[in-house]
Amino acid sequence: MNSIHFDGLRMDTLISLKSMTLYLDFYGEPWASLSLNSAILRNVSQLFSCPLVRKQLQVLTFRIGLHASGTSSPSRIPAIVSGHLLQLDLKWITEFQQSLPQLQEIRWEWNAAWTATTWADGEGFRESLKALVQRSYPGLNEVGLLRFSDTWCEF
Amino acid sequence: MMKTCSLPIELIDQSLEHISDKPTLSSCSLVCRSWLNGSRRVLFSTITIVANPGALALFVDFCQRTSESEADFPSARPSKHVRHLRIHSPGPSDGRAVPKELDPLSPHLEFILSRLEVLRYLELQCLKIQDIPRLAIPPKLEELTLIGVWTASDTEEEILDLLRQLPALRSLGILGHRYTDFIPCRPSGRMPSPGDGVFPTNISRLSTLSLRYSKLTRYFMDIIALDPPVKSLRRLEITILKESDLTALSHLLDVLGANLSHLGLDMSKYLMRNMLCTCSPNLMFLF
Repeated sequence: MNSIHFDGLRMDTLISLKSMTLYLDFYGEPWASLSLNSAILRNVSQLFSCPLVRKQLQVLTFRIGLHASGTSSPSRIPAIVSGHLLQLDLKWITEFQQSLPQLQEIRWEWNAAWTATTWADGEGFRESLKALVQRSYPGLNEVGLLRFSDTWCEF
Repeated sequence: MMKTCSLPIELIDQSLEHISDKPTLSSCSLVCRSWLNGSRRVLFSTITIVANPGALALFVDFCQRTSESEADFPSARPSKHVRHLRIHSPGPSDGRAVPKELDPLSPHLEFILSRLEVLRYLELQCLKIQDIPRLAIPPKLEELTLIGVWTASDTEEEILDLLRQLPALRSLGILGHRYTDFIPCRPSGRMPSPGDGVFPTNISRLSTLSLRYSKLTRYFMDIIALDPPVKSLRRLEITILKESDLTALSHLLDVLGANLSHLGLDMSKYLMRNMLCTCSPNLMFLF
């Protein structure tokens, strides 16, 4: 499949494109929300079916916002994040790796901003989220393509 | 007696730049005079101040005291090293971020902004600023980020007035500027165009533009795609909330896409909204 579109946008004009950031937002409980995994897969397959992007892209960043706005209590956030992460399956990375010679890095950035947690105990939450990601995917740091950053914070 | 430092100062400074923890840097600054400047350059490069009169006054007091006590060593003054400044509301106790009023004419704020000679980046977060163009931002500022900043009239003219004062600006970020307003907004003012007296000429030199969850997104997308478009733009981050945003972005990519080295796309809410609209119109109240 050779496409030049990504969610309705023509990508064939982006002849200098080296990096892309895709924001994916999730609200509330994993069962009430779209699957994080299917959203990532959908984006990746669309993006990498565009020849120009496949040829040029060096860094792809996923900024994943896990919001608790649909929950009754901020204390549910770790459980919600955990639920989303459990659904995540990153097998596609190895499949795409071979056909993407230019891709050097896939970055993952996690955000739980717009929730009470960011303000009330930002540091503590950041650390527990990091630990959760590492516990859920202990092998990820060994895959050269993956880099985990700290959570980024807006408000 | 052993000489304290026999290394060239440039090497010492370079080494100090690799230290990130504050207690170590504070200790380094006390080793000897030749380490003071380099330590402070790292230690004070980024300052975050909570926007309440007490915190602002405390920082002013600190700047004044160090100026007096180190009168014979002006280059080491902390205020000479602040390159990044963040001013934000205090965290809320009830879990909701409430914008805090920031008086742009506050003497403390004026003092701080006038003393930070090498300030390059300013971030204002979750603040109500009644007369934002009157903020005395140093004209050498290169990067400005407004996150959840409420202005008096909430029109684009206020932001344009502010930008006109910043000839060196290269990076602009506007995030969460009344983003919940889904009513199409092309308020009162007319669209400026390059060459008229209203268009801020520095927009033509922007290299980075980030417009996320802002009602000004569409307005700025239209501005930078005007003829002649902002050809210096290399990095673009956009949140798409409505069909018209997508149309504007498509046009922008046609005009400027060839120059972009980075594109950030936030279409989550737009796609989810469309999906819900198709599946169940009754759920639309969620957005």
